[in-house]
Amino acid sequence: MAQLRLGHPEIKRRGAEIFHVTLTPPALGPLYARRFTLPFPYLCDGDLAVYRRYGLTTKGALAALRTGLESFPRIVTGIVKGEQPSLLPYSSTEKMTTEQAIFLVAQDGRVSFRYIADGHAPVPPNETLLRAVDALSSGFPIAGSKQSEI
Amino acid sequence: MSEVHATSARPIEVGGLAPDFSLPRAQGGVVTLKHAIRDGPAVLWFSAGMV
Repeated sequence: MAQLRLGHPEIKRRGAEIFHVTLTPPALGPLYARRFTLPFPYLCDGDLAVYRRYGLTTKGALAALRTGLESFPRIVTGIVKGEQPSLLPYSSTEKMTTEQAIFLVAQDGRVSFRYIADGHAPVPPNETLLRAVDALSSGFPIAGSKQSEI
Repeated sequence: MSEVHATSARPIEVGGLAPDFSLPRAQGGVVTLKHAIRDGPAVLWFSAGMV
């Protein structure tokens, strides 16, 4: 979130807004909003319905177990430090293995940029997003890429 | 709880229509995509894990 947080003011200045779609159950959303400074709308898609609607995929049980084991120490450390409010959001192994994605949706509802990648890949640089937003106003949208398959 | 329950086999393509959705916002209220884009383009960031 840190990178997009840094780029958020410039994205706003260009008339766009970031909407963060998360795996957080709706019941935990207000807890996050009280505990953390959320720079842009933080949307709770706890049942992954919107993830699936946008065609994002999950890896399967074995990959989920591996990812869960790898990230468990970091999750516990975060909870101990007070950086995460609960272990509950991690309780579904499926949720640990979704793809990450960025879609830029123009005002006519069409996707003008997309980026889909494995959850461990970095998000595109803010400059890329800004160029995509600028391209919308110029009428020459640029296409993103699917960086990696999971 | 989201209002859409459809599944999609393929990611939404560039040039395609973004599926509308309505999701609860942690800061309060509900965000509907078709309403949100009235104010300007929307960057939808789907995170892979809890952040």
